[in-house]
Amino acid sequence: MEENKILPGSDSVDAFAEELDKIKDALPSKIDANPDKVEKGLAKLVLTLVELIRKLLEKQAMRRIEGESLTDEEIERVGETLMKLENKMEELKGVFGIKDKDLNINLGPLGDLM
Amino acid sequence: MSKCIYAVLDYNKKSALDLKGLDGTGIYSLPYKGISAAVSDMKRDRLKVDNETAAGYARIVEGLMEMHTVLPLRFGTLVKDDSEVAGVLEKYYERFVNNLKLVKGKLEYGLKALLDAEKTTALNEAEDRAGFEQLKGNSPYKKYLIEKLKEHKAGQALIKKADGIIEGVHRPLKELSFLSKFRKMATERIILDAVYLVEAEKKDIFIERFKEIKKKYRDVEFLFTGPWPPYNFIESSNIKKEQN
Repeated sequence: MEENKILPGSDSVDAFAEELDKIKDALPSKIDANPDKVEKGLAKLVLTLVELIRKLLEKQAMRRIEGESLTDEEIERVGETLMKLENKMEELKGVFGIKDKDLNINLGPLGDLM
Repeated sequence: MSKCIYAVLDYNKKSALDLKGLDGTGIYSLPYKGISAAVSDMKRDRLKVDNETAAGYARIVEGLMEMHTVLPLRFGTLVKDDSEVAGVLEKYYERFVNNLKLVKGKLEYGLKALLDAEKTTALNEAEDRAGFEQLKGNSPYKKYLIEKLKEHKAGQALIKKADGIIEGVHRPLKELSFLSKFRKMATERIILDAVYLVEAEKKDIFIERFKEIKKKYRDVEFLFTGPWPPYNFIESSNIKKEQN
């Protein structure tokens, strides 16, 4: 960005550049359906949806824990399920060479899915 | 030789504009019923799609903005010849005229607010201990859930902070703007990403207001930029896609 566009009162641009760099590669999120990469393209789509569901489950579990509405046994089961699900996701991401930042879908004017 | 269209202008003459195009040739205006397109010659295979060329395109549009009210077109809008340029102006005439009226005499400014996530987490942990009592014990699953609960609370604290920024920073700037848009939590740390369309005569008040507001938020970093061409407030930048 040209310096003359940064107005007085702004802080260092470095932290913003670093943060925006993190999402740069995720922005053109499309299903890569060329013949050589169709498997990875579809895996990315499926894993993105699984990750979305996993995060929703996690959020719901946190709300229940904060509301103290789970028994000790239920907490153990929830913890085990979420932990195994996260580990399985890590394993599948490794198999298909997918990174965390790849797990997103751009919904146009609505922004990114996650 | 194709024609690269950079922007539509509120200008009614065919004349050379004092700017060079992406290919190094002069930019000129092609008029149609009171508006015109700013174009230059461009060989189709010379148009590179990379950051440097996109930045060059943006600088050209900013140069045009110094001379006229502009509606920037999508980067890489190429058509066959002058008659096709006229065709674009004719086809989208009403949309162009309406958008030019909307942005005439106005400037776009951008504001991003970034928060150090660690500070928010520490703040939140001190305030909110709900749920942790249940997770006491040596079970690996409970230890896992403790970490998840900390992350969850940090996320909630960021959202709470973002809501405060929207109320305390965005709202007063919005009130001074003709139009504005914002996104909350654009990334994990950029908690506000806003754009404002400001009437030129109010720009000094707008900039001063930001400086005053900023003093109240010492734990937040801001990036305040502009003036920009009105990229975020027009609906005419994607004619290339529609043409195809």
